[in-house]
Order: sequence, then C-alpha cells, then structure tokens
Amino acid sequence: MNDFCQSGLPKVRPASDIIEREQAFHIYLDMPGVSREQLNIEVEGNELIVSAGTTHGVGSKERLHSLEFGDVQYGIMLALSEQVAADKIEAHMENGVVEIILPKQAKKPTGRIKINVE
Amino acid sequence: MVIDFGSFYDFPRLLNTLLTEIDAPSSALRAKNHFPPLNISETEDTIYVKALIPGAAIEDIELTLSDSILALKGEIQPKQGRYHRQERPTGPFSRVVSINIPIELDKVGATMKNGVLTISLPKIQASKPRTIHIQPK
Repeated sequence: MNDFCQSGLPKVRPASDIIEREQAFHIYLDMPGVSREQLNIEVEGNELIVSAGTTHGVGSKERLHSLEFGDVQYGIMLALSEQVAADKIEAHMENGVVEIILPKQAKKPTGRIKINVE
Repeated sequence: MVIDFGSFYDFPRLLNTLLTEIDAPSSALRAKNHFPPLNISETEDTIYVKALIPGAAIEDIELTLSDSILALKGEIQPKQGRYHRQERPTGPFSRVVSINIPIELDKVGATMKNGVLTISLPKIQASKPRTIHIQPK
C-alpha cells in the first residue's frame, strides 16, 4: 500500500468485475502492463488491497505519434464480507487481467433477536 | 430581430464555448471512448502500434493490413456467473490506423504480453530518408 501512496505516477482504480458463483466470489481487475512480480495483493483486516505499477517503457529513441495510454499506478481497495474465507483467497493473472478468487464459507449464524410487540 | 444583451443573455460566452469545443483537439476525448487505447510510435526503421487489451488472448485478436490501413478487431467474452459489478469492457472492439508509409508485409510482427499488444511494422528500406552527399566541383 505504501508504494501506492508514494509513487508519482497517476493513480488509477482498475476496472473491476465482481461475479458470484456457487463456490466463490470472483473479482476480475483489468491491469494491462502489470507483470506478476509487480503485483501486490494484501489482506488487511477485512480489506483486500491490490496495487501495482506499470512499465510500458516509452522509449526515448521512438518518435511518438499518438499517445492514448501511459504508465499508471493501479490501486483498489475492496471490503470483504463475512461470507468470504479470507485465509483461502487465491489469485491468478492472465492477459493483463487479475483474477482473485474469494471462496465462500458457511455463514456465521447471525444473532437474531425477536422483539415482542406489546 | 431583437438581440437581448441583458445580463442573462450569455451569448458571447456560449459562442466562445462552442468555438473552443469545435477547435479543441478532441483526441483526449476520443481516447476515452475508443477501446482499445493505442500508442503509435516510430523509430528509424519500424513503426510500433501498442494497444491495451486486457482479457484478450492473441488468438482472440484479428489483425489485417491492407492498403496502408491496419485494422485491429476482436472480442472480449463476458465471464459466467452472477454479476454484482461490471466495469470491464466486453464485446466486440475494433480500431483502424492508417499507415502512410510502405511496410514490409512479410516482416510484420505482433506480440502480446500482460494484456499489451505490440505490433511492429518494419518500413521498406526505400521509404527511409537517405542522405545525399553533394560533391563540390
């Protein structure tokens, strides 16, 4: 999280999908230009923090004609619900998309209070 | 015709806004609306086109180069499951780039790494500027 705050690059929240399947929640983050080594995924309390910088490396020898993207610092913070087994979180990376799998765990019984109306 | 120049009549400012909008290079706006975003650069012997296409494998992308027009097409399939949030673009996409320099078609290369597509278009030798030495007599 520290490099996310200190970096001088523009900060970008990656486009994200949150999909629920039977066994788990799947989070997909578009982070093109990020390599596996640059990716940083942490769980702090009930927050999932993903951060990474890109190195597209615009060469100084190249003459630029059109520039629609540049280096950015990606960062996103997601709150985890009680349904998620935080110790079983997995992550994959393919074609610039980070997939985080948050397996579901049995719901803790919520304390239900019956209130009698007099 | 009556023109009201009262304080509520904001014609000069509106005209100015209109003119700036017409005049302004809309490339920044266009870049936002166009997927995938492209960077085009050039070295002495190659033109590079880079595109950010997260979620597409190289086999999902179709590249065609004809009559100095480079076309990039493809489709990103949506994921299966119940969506709680959807921000990532899905569906077909295409971008067209006109290249006004002759290209060596046999040597065009494309690589994909971490969702970044890099297309290298080598220029034909003859199209490179050549220095001509002038002999003094």
